[in-house]
Amino acid sequence: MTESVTTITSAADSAEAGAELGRAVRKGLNGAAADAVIVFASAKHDYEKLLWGLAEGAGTDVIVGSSSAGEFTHSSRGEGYVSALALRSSSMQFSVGLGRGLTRDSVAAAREAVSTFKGLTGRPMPYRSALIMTDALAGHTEALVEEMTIATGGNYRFFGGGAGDDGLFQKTHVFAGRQPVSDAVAALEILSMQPVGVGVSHGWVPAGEGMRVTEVEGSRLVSLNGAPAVEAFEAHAEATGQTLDLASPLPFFLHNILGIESGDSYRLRVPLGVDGEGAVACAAAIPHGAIVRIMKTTEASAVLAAEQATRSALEALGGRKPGPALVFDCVATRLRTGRAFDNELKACADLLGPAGFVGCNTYGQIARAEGQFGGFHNCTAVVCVLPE
Amino acid sequence: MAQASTIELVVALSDRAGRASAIQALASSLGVEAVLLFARDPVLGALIPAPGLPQTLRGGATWRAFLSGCMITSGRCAATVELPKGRVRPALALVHEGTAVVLLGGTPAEREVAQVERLLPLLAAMLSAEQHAVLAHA
Repeated sequence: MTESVTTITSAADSAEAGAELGRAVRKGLNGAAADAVIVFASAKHDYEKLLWGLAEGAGTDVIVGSSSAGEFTHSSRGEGYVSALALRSSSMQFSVGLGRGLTRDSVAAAREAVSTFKGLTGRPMPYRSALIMTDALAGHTEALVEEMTIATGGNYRFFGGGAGDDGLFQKTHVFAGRQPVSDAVAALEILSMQPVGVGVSHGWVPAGEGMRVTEVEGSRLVSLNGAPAVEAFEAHAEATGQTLDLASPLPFFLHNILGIESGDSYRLRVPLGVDGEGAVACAAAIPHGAIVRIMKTTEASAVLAAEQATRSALEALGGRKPGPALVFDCVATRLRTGRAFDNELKACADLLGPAGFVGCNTYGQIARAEGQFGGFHNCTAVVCVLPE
Repeated sequence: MAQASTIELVVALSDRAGRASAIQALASSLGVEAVLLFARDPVLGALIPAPGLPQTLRGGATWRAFLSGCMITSGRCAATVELPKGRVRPALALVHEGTAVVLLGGTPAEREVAQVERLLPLLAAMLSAEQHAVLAHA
């Protein structure tokens, strides 16, 4: 049996916000302590005070989460908030992992993060999953997911995303226990008697011809088809009658992102800016030699994608009743759709069970599960449904 | 030491590791300011810089139009192009089966240009195979 509490606060004082969440958790669990808490907090907060108050109130140090760029539950959302999901379960076990030094050595950080996983040395429960929150500004996200998959023998389902900072793109933190840490990855191992459902979807379709990535430095896309990358966006803007202001390109980029061909789907990357050499800085790495296309979407497509991700996650439960869920979507999606982002969350809420969901807007999304489009994504909805 | 012949310099382009220095030597030998080498992308059809050479060329609209024209041409293609941006000069492309050798600036001797052209089928076959291998690995 699993009991859960979804809660959110707009309290500006971090200690009070943590205490308020802790009180809500205790009340929801009829006074009992939580086994684990997942928490997402606006960059406005003092994370240490927040986490300390939450841990004291909820009665556990098994806390994992991150700073974020928009926080929500099935019934409320906002910016500058803190959202949390508390769990108490006889059919799930939880443990916290933390890997530091992503910039220096992402492989070592990945291995360190999973080194505390109890499912690697024994098999106390049949299903193994993990929430992964990483400092995406530290980079190496794609390699991190790959390495965590290798380090866990491919036996874990992963879901989560890149920590945010209210869209400032300056400094992000992950949470492990009472510690807020930058340049790190935090993991919450979930061992369960029933499967955890993970679904992934985006509503973007190609809007232009394929182009070869001829030069790239991590997430800095230097050239496409041998020409500065910005020229492809300029040509697309002209062809489609859109305005691309190189001094302020984000409004254009939010509606015109890159899709990396990957089998019969596209892995998305959000362009963020243009430098003096015509290179385009993207939110995550792009592989050299890949074929990319400029992509387009609509608000309706984003809602359909959220629905599809939710349905996929529910299907992965194999007919079992859904418990509480976690929803991750890109900060770029929220910025692009504005108030219509509520429609996406409503679509998830309508499909998920009465236990509801907690989530946040992230800098990239993580998913690794059978039958799902795995890896590190941008502008993609990732839904994880825990078993009842 | 005797100066390398045009034939030897074109043959040297087959070695990816030494291609960047070989192409400079070829430019010098031909009396042009620069030589550029492009191979057709096997999936997309676009002409992209050959492996081992600079992969980003910052040209103006005339350069882009010239390169696009080379994709649908066989034989010679000449124009005045802006490459890099702000610098206008003559360009002569020798195109064969998805490979283009572009001679930039200067006035190359017809005899030497003809020698490059004669070797172009061999260079095109080799570059095509290399491009396939490089992109398959990517």
